[in-house]
Amino acid sequence: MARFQNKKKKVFVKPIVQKKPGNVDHVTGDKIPKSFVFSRGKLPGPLRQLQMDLRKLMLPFTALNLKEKKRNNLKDFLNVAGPMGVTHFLILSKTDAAPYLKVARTPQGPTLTFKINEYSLASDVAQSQLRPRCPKDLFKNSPLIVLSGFGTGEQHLKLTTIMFQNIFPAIDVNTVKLSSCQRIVLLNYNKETKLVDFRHYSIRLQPIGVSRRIRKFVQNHQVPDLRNLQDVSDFVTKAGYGSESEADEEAATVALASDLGRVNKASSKSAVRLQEIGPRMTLQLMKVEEGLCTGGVIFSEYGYGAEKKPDKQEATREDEENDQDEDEDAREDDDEMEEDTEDGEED
Amino acid sequence: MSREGTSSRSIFGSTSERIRPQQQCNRSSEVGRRGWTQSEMEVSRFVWVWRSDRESFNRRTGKTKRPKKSEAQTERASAQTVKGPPSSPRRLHLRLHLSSLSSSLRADPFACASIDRSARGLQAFVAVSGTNFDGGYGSSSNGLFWINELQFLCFDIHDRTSEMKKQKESVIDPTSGSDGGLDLKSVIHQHSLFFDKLIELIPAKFYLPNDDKERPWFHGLSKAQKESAKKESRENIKKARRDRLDPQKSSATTVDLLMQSLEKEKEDYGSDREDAVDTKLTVSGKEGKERKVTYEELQQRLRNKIEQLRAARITTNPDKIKRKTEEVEQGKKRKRDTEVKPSTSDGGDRKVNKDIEEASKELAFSQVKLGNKEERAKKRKKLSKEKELERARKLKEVKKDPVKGEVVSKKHSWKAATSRAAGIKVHDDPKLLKQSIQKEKKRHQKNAEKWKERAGTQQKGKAEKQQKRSENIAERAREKKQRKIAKREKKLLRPGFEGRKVGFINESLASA
Repeated sequence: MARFQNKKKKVFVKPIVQKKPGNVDHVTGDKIPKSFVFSRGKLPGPLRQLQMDLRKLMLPFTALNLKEKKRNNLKDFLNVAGPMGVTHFLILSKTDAAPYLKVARTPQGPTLTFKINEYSLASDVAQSQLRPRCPKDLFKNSPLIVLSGFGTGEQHLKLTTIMFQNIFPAIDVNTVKLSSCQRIVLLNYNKETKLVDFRHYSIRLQPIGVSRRIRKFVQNHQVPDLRNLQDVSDFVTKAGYGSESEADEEAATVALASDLGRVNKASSKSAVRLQEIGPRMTLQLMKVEEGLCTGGVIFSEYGYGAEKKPDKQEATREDEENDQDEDEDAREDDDEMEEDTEDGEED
Repeated sequence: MSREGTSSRSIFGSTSERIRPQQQCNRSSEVGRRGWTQSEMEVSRFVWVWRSDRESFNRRTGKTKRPKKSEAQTERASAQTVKGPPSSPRRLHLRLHLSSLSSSLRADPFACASIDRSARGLQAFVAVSGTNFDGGYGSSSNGLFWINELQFLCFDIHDRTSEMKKQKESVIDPTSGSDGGLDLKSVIHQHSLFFDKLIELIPAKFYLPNDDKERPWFHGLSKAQKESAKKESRENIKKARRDRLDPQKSSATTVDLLMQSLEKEKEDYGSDREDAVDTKLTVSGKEGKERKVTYEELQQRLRNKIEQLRAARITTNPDKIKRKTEEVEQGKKRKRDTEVKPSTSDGGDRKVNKDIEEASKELAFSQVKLGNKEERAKKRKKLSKEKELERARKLKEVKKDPVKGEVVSKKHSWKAATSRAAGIKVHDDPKLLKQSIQKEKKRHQKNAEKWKERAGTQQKGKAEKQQKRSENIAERAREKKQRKIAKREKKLLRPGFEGRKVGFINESLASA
């Protein structure tokens, strides 16, 4: 009897993995909003850069390497979006007048069309700074969003706030960690010019009441250069002028709820420092449509059809849709004059 | 040897004589074997003579007076006696002491120590020899004591012949009478002159106390600074050398420099006590002024920067913003100016909080989930699709209504858009609803069909299997029977057996 011959074949049992639906947040159990950032039509170089910057901004819940082909329609994107749990589309397009950014909610959500008056790329912003900052896990967590000046009660502004608030996942106060709040998107509405400023910052917490030298020493653990000093006490007690930005932010100090990193302790106050990263845009809300680039126009900047059609370029490629769009728009504009917007939708 | 006034002459002649060798040769008339000065030789000679005289005196009985010899004779005698061998160890000691003294004085200017040693030795010798010297000298320093003794010994040389006893007496009792007093003053003066001369032997840089500030310290400076400092010191050295060797410029001797420094110290000491507080105040006053200046500068800078930022920023309410900035600035100003008073800084904080509150009224933040999961879990009632279709149709109808149509439609469209943006699904399109209902129906149908089919196939399968089973069973039974028959038949297939009994041949024929 052979003892060591265990010729019994071990059957490979595959562990049963229950696949969770992709858009459910495992912490809160709610759905996480995901987005696609793509373009309709051919974009020039800087706008393609802007598209990449926007993709980075929307990380981690977006497709960073989304590949779009010429023949892809909106429908194709819609079809893919359904099973993947993608909830928002950010569509960039360019006409002779200006580039446009459309923020839409799938599958049949409203579409906000913004005209990009001015924009700066993330690389431009980084070049303009003395010390551009990009820690390696900056894009691991989604950004916070702050909207200012939108509280005037107008409906389209309300809609805009709700739209942007829901592009990024919600914060669960019970389980959120301070270290995960690293970026912030700032939208500022100017009532006079009706322009929306779009800014993207990285958040940094620094303890106040500590001289710069000691703070840097504790943070970096690098041996300082004491060549020109006669005594260690000079290093510790040297009264240097604080940086200019320190004076501005006396109001921006908070008492942290928990320790963050090596330097910021919960007991002492810390200053919140924002450093700009990412694209800078000046947007103007042109149009709000009921459907996904379709549907009735419920708000329009210029009112009764005086505005330019933003989808002129795609007319050649996406005939049906655009014809429909244009027709509907035309009809909508007409209807708006009659103050009835629902006709175009039917049939 | 003429007797010179003791007041003007120090014991060893002028010490300068001794130090500057070139003069030494000129002055000393009788340069002995070792180049002793006149005074040295005098001393040594005297001692020997005294000793020898004493001995001779002791030897000779009763003779106190001696015939006055000429100085030359005496000198010759003493010179002779000097060469004589030392007859007792005590004399040797004395001579040695003296010689050591003279050599040391010649060798280095700092002869005090050696003087001390020699003086002590002489003292001991004298004490041993029994000479009654007054202990009154013991209070002064050893050097002084020794000097005193030697001085008197020198006197003896000059007055030996005439006043031996008197000298002895004076030696024994030097403090008596005015002679002693005068002598004391002159003695002190002589001492001071002697010490002055000693000090002048020392170069000033070694003798005078050197402040640390004057010392050049090159270690902590940068390269450029080091270069300049070194250059400076080099220049200073050159200048000092030139000044020192310049015959026209009066060189300050060590003593003069010492006096200067002493005067300075006195002044400083006196003034320090009085003006210490004042200087402190003035210093702090200066610092305060400087501080104020820098704070002002900082404030100005801050204000400018704030203005710039506010101008660049797009404002929703310029008046509000202006007010805000002013308040914040005031708060900051107050903070800066009154660091000592914490009460006003609280005021600044309150202002800042107010501003924050005002600003936050206009701010909207990202979605925040508050509360527990259970509270959040309430779901909306899901209406069936038919019902929703109904609702949608109704809505459509209402929209078409001319009276309230547009109001309702607008309201509805905005509401729908807002809720859709928030993630809530709104079913308001009857078309889509119809489509979805259709889809569902079809799905249902399809499923039903599938189920039926499945059921049918199941049945079929069942039936087939059953049939097959029964077939197999029957087959088996038949097989069994056949086997049995075969077995029976086999028995009758033995060789030579013609076969079973079949019957009569013609029976079958008959029947057929």
